[in-house]
Amino acid sequence: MDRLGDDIKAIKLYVAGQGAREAAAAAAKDLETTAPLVPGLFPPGSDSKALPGKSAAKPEIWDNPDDFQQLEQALTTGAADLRKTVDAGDVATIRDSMRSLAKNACGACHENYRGRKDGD
Amino acid sequence: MIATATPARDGAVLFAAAGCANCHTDRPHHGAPLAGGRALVTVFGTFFTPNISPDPDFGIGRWSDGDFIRALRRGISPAGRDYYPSFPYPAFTEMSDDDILAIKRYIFSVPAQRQPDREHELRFPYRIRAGIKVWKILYLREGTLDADPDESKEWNRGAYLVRAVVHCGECHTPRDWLGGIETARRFAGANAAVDGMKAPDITPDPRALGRWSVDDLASYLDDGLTPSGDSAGGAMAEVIRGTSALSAGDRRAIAVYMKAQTPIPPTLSHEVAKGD
Repeated sequence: MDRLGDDIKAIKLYVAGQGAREAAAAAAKDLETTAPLVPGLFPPGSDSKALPGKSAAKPEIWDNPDDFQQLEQALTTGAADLRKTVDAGDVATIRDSMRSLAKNACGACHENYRGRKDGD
Repeated sequence: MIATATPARDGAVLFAAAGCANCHTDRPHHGAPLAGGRALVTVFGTFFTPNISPDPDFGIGRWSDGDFIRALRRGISPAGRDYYPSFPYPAFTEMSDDDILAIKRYIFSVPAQRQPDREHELRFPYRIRAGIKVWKILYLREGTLDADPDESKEWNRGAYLVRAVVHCGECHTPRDWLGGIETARRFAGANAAVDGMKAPDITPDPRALGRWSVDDLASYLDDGLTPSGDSAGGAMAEVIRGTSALSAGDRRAIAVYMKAQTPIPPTLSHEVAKGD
């Protein structure tokens, strides 16, 4: 998940006029490649109660497999869409695409399924 | 004089920014919008939020404009009952009448829900409702927010949104044992009173928002992305759904006001810099 964050950071910097377009393009490509791997980060038994200090995943993930799968799908399609807009290079379009990914995938999943590493 | 009321009088936007549905819809159990019943687990006990849909029997469908203003400004029900300050009327009291009534008009435009309220389950002594009268004397400063003529229009608009509407300080400020806001540590973060949340320091302290620019904060309130590329979660994701409904100018005003606050070291010891 840190890798996804670093990719988003690079794209944000480009959108803000503070980063290179090449860095943003590389990050967007990495994001698109990494997104489909995210489900593999959450095998059963990897919640924050089972792995205190390491995992922030709420046990609710495994109670709502359909919902979680939809969010994974939103992440994969959102990342692919973002990569296309970064390649095209229009900053306003990239911003819109990043906002969609952030709200429909990142934020929507963290809202219900990310807790704290200390298990609270 | 009222600080800076919303020119658009847009009830739906104010309703979203004030986060009404976050507490009054039992989303964890897929409850109907504004039917209430969401459990707020606190150190004082568990509050069950009331139905604020426009149903005449179970909701607020019979409330007059005056009833609604009195509830938001003074924390008193139409029947004269005191509300617990889990309902953030100490913040809403600073809203303009126009904005309060814009929210009421919006609420009255959504479907009514026929769901009865559930009694709070509070610990002693908090379950004694008469105690709220004392609490109000100690902590409730009733009335709209005065504009500060020494500050910019943008700062004043931010102050109004942060304090009266979005009520950021209700979670991000520590409370004393009576549940009163510790005003000297406003925005310094807290083990928030609700659901075991840890609300971080949002002052410009170096360990808090010190390294965030106004643009960083304004865009975070739109898309939930931090400067490091992380994304808001939990209750803050719900808050961002509300602030993303505001205009870009309003989000910027919030950022300007927050960046102008006095830096205070974080209340929570585990906090580390988030702005890197």
